Amino acid sequence: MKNLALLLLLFGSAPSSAESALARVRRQGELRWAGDLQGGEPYVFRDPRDPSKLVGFELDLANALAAKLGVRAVFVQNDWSNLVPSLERGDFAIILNGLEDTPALHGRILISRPYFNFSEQLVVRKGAPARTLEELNGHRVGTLTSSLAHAILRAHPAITPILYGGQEEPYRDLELGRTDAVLLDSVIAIRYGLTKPDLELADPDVARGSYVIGLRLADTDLKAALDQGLTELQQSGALAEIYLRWKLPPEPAISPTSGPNADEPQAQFDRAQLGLFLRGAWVTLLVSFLAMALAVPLGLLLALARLYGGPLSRLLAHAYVELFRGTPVLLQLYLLYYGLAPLVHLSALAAAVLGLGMNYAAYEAEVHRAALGSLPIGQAEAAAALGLSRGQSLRLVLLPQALRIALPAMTNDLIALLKDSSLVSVITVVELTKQMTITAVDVRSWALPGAVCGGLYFALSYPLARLAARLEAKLALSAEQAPVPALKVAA
Amino acid sequence: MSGIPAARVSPIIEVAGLVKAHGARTVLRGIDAQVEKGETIALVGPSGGGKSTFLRCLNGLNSFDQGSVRVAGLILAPRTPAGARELLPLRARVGMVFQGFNLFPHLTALENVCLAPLAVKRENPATVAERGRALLTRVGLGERFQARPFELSGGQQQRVAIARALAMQPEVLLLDEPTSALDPQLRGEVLAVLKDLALAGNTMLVVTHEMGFARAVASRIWVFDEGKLVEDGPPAQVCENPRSERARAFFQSA
Repeated sequence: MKNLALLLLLFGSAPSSAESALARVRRQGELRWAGDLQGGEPYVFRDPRDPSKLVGFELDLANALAAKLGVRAVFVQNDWSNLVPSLERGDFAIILNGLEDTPALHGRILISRPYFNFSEQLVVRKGAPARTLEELNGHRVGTLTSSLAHAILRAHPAITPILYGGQEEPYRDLELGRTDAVLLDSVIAIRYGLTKPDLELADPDVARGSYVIGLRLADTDLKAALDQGLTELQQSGALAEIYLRWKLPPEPAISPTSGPNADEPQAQFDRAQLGLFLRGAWVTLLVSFLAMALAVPLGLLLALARLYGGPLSRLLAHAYVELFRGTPVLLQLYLLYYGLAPLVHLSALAAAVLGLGMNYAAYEAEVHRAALGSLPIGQAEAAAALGLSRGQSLRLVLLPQALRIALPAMTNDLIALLKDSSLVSVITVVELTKQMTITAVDVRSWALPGAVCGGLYFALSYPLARLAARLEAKLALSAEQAPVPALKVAA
Repeated sequence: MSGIPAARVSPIIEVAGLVKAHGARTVLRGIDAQVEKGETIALVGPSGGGKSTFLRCLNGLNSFDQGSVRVAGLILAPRTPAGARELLPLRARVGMVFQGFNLFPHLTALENVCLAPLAVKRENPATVAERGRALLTRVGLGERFQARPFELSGGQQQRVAIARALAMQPEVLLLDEPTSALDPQLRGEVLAVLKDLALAGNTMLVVTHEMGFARAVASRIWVFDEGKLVEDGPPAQVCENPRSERARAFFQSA
């Protein structure tokens, strides 16, 4: 299962427009449903007893619904805040991951009938004076980005909403006094907020909401089939059974009586988690090296165009460099993965490599340009005087020297890229940093996962720096750069 | 020169009315000169006189504005840019040695020497390597084939640069102040190589400040001053009895 999710990221395929969504699901024999493991318990998360397995009430629900359709349920990992754009670009058939029925969704995607009802709950520090939204005017209130609670907070302009990507952090900041309350749904509040001894429930029922399944606008027959499946599951009592199994109230919880059992094991940072980290590190390394393998030659091409090209290629190369340097790489990744999705359907890994590679090419272009510019004019003159053509002069004389000069800067960029590659998690690639945030939610702590994550980054970058230093010494062009043995030869 | 016109082969270098301007400043003001095969010409004169610029016009590293230049049977047109493809055949026939050596630092001595015959003339690698080793041995570097430029002294580097130019088997060798960047004690080894080449019948034009060398080795001395060729004759005549006032002043100060 864990390898499957990665595989699916690599080879995500476009939905064909010829057949209906339901027909396609039936033909493929699988219902591809998406969620974010970072959402953690109880939605869909790694089994604390066996991290190679996924568990959660949404996994049970997905399996039950898939069974109703006569197919297999296949989980697709996707950054939670990007579930809707990924659905639109066709990475999976449905969103089934605590997607709240908010007005913003209507018209953009199809939504199923609700599968779970909850209340929005206000949690504060014990004994805090401000205990209703009205009393919290002028205060800071934490919530999740683009959640129903976020929409509610926006209707209270006097409240400053503080937005988070995960559900553990808002309560942590509340404990630390960085915020004065947290507004989130009852499922989250019970499991992540009220388990903290310093916090208490201030308003158990600020508003009502429900979780729904999200589908593409055109997939009406799949929606009808899922709605019918949900109705049947409800009537047969199977839905209630799932909720009972996960200690979720069938109706909105008014009081925090149905929290997780103490006998429910909490995930530990163990060997299996380390395995996931190593896989994340491998993805980080892969993305970084492939991106650099694209950035260096592309950058070289841009540098050559700027130095030796005609007016048009000079202009284009210059424009490329300024455009890609002058805009955030995050934006470029979004555009490549989501913006271009209707035209070019790139896999997540391809988009990550292409996005980072094209961005870094702008920097490499400047590195190469500076290196070529730093060569003494006598080198080009000597090559010309020997009868070498411009191409030969570049290939045999100038570039071999320029690349040696550029090596320290390129190493520097590769190490920077290793860390910048964490940005690709926004386009659903689970690399080292994303794995760390997922695990941190599972084990309810940032300390150990953070330390392991940092250690792994260092373990990747430090040998790289050492290797580059040795290469520099080996390829030295002058006595100053040469290692000591070469100096002996000179003497 | 005025010997036997009937039997005379055409000069290997023929320059007529060469004018070159650098913006508003005229660097060369109408040079007329000829070089016969096998001659060694020493170009001397005060700094800024135009001798280096003239030399670089002969292989197109500098373009010129007016006049005609014919070198080794090839004609150079005025205003040909230094990077022009048309210059490649000329450069394959004209070797050049620079004041600053300009060896390729990423290559060994032997690789420096062999690069152009392999890349430009696409000669047989074994032949080229053999010739390269012979040339390095001839300039006294028989033991340093695999040395990198930064491992060599200035004098050794310049001798590698001379071997590199000779590896193309050029018809003319241009040397632009080949010993000026060297410590005095290292100049001798380079000058000895140049003398050997001159005696072997190579056609050479050497821009130099080494008057002793010019007198001993050159077949003719050219004195450049303020963009003009003011003296052209055998060393004894030019040095002992210069015709122009400027040349006399130059030799007195030199």
